[in-house]
Amino acid sequence: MTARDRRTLALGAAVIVSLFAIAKGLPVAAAWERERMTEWAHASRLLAESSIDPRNLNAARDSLMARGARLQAIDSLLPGAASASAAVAQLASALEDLADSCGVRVTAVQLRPDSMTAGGLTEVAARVNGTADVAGLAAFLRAIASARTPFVVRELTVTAPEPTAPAAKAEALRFDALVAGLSRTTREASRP
Amino acid sequence: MSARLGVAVSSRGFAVVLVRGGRVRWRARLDRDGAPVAPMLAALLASAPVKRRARVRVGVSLGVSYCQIKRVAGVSASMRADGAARLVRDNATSFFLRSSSRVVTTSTERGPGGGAWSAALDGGVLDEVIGALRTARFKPFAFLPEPLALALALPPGSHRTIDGGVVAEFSTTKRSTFTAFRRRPVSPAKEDEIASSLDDAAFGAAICPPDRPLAWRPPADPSRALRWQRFRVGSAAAALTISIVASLVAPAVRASRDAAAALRLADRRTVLRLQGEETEGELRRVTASLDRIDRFASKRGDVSLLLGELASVLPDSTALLSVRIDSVEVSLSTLSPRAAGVVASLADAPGVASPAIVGSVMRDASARSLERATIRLRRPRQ
Repeated sequence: MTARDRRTLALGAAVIVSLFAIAKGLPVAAAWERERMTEWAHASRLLAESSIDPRNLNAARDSLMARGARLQAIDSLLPGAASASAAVAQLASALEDLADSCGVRVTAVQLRPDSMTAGGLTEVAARVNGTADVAGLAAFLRAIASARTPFVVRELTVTAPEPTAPAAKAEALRFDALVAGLSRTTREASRP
Repeated sequence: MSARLGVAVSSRGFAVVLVRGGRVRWRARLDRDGAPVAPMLAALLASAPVKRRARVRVGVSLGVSYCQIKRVAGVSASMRADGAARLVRDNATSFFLRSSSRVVTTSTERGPGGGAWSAALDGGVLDEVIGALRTARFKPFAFLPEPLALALALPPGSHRTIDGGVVAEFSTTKRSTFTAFRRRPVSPAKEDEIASSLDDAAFGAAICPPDRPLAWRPPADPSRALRWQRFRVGSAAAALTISIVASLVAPAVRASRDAAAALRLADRRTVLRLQGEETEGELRRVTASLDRIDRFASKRGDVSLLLGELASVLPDSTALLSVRIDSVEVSLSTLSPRAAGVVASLADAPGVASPAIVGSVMRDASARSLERATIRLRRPRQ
């Protein structure tokens, strides 16, 4: 085989290999390119859908910090209780203390079992029955309204048994008050 | 500081000098005694103290028995140097004596008077010297006639050198160009009397400038040139192929990189969005708790205030038998001289509205002038 023959053979082989490579490789390359383009379009769509304004996020964080600090300050004023029963018991105890300090005679404290817990706060209520004169009842109501722990009188019934009694006779008003209070649900209560 | 090697070849022997920084650092000499050039010169060059031989520039001076220098007649002053060189090369036998089977001519150099000077070298000796240099792994840089090497090494003036029964007498200028040159045979008896130093010729060959026209520079090795040409063609073909492939693939590669960057950014935004949702949820919870506490606290003292307002608007002649207050309404049981008057006085009371008598109005059993009545008032919704 002469050198010319070898060159011709090599050139022919190179042409055949090139044709084969082009015929097989071009469709594969085109498919690969289409796949890349599709991937790019998908990524662009995802990017467009995931648009978010960082300023809104920062504003929400700032609001959360401010309101969280305020809620924390209020939380320190609320009594903590592990359950609604414990909370209503604390409320009854506090009301009896207030009544004693105002000279009001409490005949019964009825605990209201119904309570509503939301956002870590439980509202409980107790019905207080007792007798007092006008000054004592007014002091009792003022003490409830101005207590450090927030209490609210939901209902009040006052009855004067002897409205036409002489002025010399000691005044005795029977009252019935439904007092509500807020309690903070402690961590033990939130455990399942 | 590059090293230069100067080689002087004559019929008497060889001289080799190593020049570095304009000074001779090493020298060697060898007499021929009629021996062939290649093996002896290769052995002499092999002893040169040079490490990287392929980088050393080698100049070779050929003795006057292997070269001729002549002022070429018929070359006008306006003729370009390459044209004059081609004229001399194509008509070498007309200008120079055919001393061997092959004569190699150099380019032409203008002398002080404007005349063109050219040189011819013995091709057979050139081939032997080139072979010896390649054997010693040196690359030949330039071949120059010994008179030119001496003109470069010696001060300007008249000089003569002899080699192989030929004596050359020549005059040189400061620029090492020739003003006169004469070459004639001489008897061997006088050769020893006027022989010049081969070391001077070797030194002149070492310091020969690369652009000296009367120095002949060997053409590149044909096989090497062919390999270089094939390499260039192959490189160009490869570059073309790579360019075509790159132009086809580049958009997809760009898209792939953009897609990866977009996915990374989308992931970061997703994390931010989740953080935002978590923050919003916590904010809603805290806000709801605060609202609930505020609503609860706003009711504090309502009953006390309402009782105070009722006490202020009720007539002094009215006695309260009972009071019932809840979140919707207020019920009063009164004992008064005139129940309708009580209702009228309650009409303007703040915090309550729509006072009305519920049931019947009865005369009190103990005091017939007094009326018992139950009055109901609505509390405004908040």
